[in-house]
Amino acid sequence: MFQSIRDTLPQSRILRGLLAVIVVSLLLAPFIFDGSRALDTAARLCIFIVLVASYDLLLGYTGVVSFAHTLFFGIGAYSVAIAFDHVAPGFGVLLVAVVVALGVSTVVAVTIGLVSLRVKAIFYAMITLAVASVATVLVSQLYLYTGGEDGMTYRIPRVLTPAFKLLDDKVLGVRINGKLLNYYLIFTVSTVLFLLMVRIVASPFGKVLKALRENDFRAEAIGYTTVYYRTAATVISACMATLAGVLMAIWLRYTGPDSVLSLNIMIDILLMVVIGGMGSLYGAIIGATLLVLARNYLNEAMGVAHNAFIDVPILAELFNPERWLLWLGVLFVVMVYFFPLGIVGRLVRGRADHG
Amino acid sequence: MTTQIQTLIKQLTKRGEPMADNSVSVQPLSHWHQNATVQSGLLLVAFAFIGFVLIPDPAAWMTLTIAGLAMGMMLFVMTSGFTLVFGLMDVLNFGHGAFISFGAFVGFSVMAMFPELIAAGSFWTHIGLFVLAMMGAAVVVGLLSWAFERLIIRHVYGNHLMQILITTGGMIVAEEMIYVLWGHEERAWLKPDSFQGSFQFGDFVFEKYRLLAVIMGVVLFILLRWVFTHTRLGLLIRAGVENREIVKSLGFNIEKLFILVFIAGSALAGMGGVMWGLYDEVITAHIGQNLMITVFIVAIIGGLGSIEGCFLAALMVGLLTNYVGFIFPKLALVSTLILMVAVLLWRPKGLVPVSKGDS
Amino acid sequence: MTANLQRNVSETDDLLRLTDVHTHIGQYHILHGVSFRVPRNQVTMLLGRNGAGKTTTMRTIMGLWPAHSGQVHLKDRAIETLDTMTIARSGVHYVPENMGIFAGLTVEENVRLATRQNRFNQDRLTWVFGLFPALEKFWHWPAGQLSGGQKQMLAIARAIIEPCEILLVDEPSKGLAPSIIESLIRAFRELKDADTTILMVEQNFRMASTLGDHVAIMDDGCIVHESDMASFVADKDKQASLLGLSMEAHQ
Ligand SMILES: Nc1ncnc2c1ncn2[C@@H]1O[C@H](COP(=O)(O)OP(=O)(O)OP(=O)(O)O)[C@@H](O)[C@H]1O
Ligand SMILES: [Mg+2]
Repeated sequence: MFQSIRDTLPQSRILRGLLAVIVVSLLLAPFIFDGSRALDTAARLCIFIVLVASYDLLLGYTGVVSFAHTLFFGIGAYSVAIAFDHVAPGFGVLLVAVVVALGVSTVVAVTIGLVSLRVKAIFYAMITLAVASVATVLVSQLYLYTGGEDGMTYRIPRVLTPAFKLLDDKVLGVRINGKLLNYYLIFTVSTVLFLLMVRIVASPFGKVLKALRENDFRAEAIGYTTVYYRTAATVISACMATLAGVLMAIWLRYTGPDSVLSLNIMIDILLMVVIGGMGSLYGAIIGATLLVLARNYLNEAMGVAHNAFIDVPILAELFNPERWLLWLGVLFVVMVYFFPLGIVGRLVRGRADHG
Repeated sequence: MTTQIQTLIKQLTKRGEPMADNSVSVQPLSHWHQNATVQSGLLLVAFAFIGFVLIPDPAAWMTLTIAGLAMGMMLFVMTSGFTLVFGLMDVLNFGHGAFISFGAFVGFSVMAMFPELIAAGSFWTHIGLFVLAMMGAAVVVGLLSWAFERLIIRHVYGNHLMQILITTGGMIVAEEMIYVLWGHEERAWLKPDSFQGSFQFGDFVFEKYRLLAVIMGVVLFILLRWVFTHTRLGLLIRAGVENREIVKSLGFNIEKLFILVFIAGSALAGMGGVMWGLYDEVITAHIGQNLMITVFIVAIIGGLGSIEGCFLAALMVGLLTNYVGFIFPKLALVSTLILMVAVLLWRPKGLVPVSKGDS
Repeated sequence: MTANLQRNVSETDDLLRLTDVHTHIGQYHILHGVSFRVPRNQVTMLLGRNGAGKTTTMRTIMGLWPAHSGQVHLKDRAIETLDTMTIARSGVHYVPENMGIFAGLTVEENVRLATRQNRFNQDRLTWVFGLFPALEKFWHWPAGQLSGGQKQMLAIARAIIEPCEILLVDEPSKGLAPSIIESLIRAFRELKDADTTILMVEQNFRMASTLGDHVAIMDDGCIVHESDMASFVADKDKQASLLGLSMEAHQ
């Protein structure tokens, strides 16, 4: 299994280097970055890598644009949240919640898939957008169970909280407590899920998906198998997103529409996939990292520019730190237009051109 | 599809119309109840009737029906461009919502230029201002969409994946630009005095603005229909929606036609934005994005590319939203989704499917 | 390539000439160097098996598929790089394989769309009605409700309502009953008598041999034979080897 994963690694040396830096930083995050905010960022990054990779499984490997990916993310998160809040925070409960969440996601994914298959593939994007927004409405309406717009805060198993102390002494200046355990739980599960997806993509199943993506003309002719493979890919992708949602719920100890369901998150995912590179799961790592860094540092750079242009009416507003999404949007359009394969595709192809 | 009813009426009224004889093989006109447009129209009436049965109070029903029709008209104005652009050029523009938002904000700014007239003016001055705001929105959004087509859309013809992604990106940028130009806060946009309040006949209450919206919608619909049935441009659009390759082979400049339709469709979205903004009395950069979902649903229910379908579906969704909103306030959006699924299961290509010439 | 078989070369000049045309559709290389000529005021038949590339040739002439290399000359003008609209406006009128009728438009609207000024020249219209009486009968009907033969007539009417340099017709007899084919042949003969230059793809050998003056045979994206129709009709061996038994069966 490991050999086959190694085979999928991108050839580009720069890219491998980048990936290594990111992975090592995440692995050692608690020890090399200070403060809980940094750790929080690292954990979110791990989760988003899984989420984005799972989306790439759909977009990059089947060429289907879905706007309902946050729906599955939300199903995972809300299952855990509701289970912990309404039953009890424990690992048995967690297991049940995960199983239920996966079941629900599968059913929803298959249903959306089947309804959309009745119509043309391009309807998928529109239908999923509608379904996702209906889900958001439902969550805010069913506030008795979901906490509505405010979301829900709940307790998680004690071993995963800062209150649980493993060692009394600090190691390398870091407290060895439940929070650290929690981080490594997130990190490990994310890594496993990511590798699993890499494995799936490298398998014969993944090869068929690729073939379908490459040759829609023939794929249409094959008909039935297309349906089968597309639906299977949809379900796998949905389940991965669900598990990412589970991780999110555990890490945040809070679940609400803004943290797991909103269209903004969907747009973030799209940005990450496209900027990182569609059709290569490693792009998810690059894209997610870039966006998280951009969020934190583009703001500051724009703040500087904003102050420099403070007297020029529109220009100042263009560089208002709150407008960072404007620039990412521009970058997104440029990327889709000029480098549809994203950063990863660019690096890989750049090398192929030279070699 | 477009002319079937017309033709049917012609068949029935015109004397001396040659009827089928035996020397030429003739397919009879499909029976009237098989006609998709007529069928959908009946469905719409059935909708109103079911609403009447389920809502015990006739006055409330009347209010809801007017509200539903008003909403439907606005949805029609907003969706028509989207559905035509798809029908004609096979382009899915996810940025269409941004045109709605932009239109609303431009209309807002236009109206805000005449505070004295709004404060002191008569009904007709207000109508004039309203029309002016819509025109302003149409012009600005039209120009914007022209740039959008040149810069973005024309490079991704024939590639739906790219279209969806790139126009979504365009929508993000456009929304952010609204923040840059008009600030981050939502804007309250009060109706002029003479549009507020309502008429009363016995138990029935008619809100003025809703009636106005219905009238505006009907006027625009009739105008559009007239263009479609009585002008060469309309003929070309209808032909292009069916088979643009043949339109090219007949020597027409299909690209010019498309840009024209794209601009006009976007301008309509902008006008819809003005109507909607004044209806809601509050506008944010997000209204387009939120409405887009309903726009998609309407376009799909109606049958992508079909202007009649779009009209009927918009009214259907408008009525349904209001009726359901009255009975189960929380389920309005859910009900439109269910309607869409039901329609798709019944007719995968929507209520009034566009006949694609290559079949 | 075999143009010297034409006996009276000097009497006719070529209205349309293809020289070594290669066409790709997506990743597939379909036409491998197609060369033939369409003499002025004559009917040229393009024959060949299913999938030989006849429709692709027609579409390439029309600019609906871009020619990858090679030239298409209309009179003395190279048209292979022009777009479809310009080619159509240069007088190349096209009746596609699936007729391309606008089903939602009425018969009248279909034909009117093909007029230059959006109105009819009454003489021309009367002439077209003379060719295809059924069209007058169903003038205000939705074109989608016409029968297959009537649709074909409408497609042809649309292509001839304005005068043209050359008429491209792709398999007009496809799927039609023999009696309808006879009436199509009559109409085409009338067009021919009016000195219309026609390039026609046809599977029906009876139709091809009665109407054609000149013939080009395609196989696998290449022209394998070109001559005048009379000598091709006379040469049974050639027919058998180039077109197979299916053509015999049609006779
Ligand atoms: N859109 C397309 N994509 C890929 N290949 C195509 C396409 N259209 C045609 N072809 C291929 O090009 C070849 C020539 O097709 P073409 O339609 O020109 O043949 P034809 O001679 O007109 O056949 P027929 O007599 O059946 O009409 C065929 O092998 C066909 O499979
Ligand atoms: Mg053919």
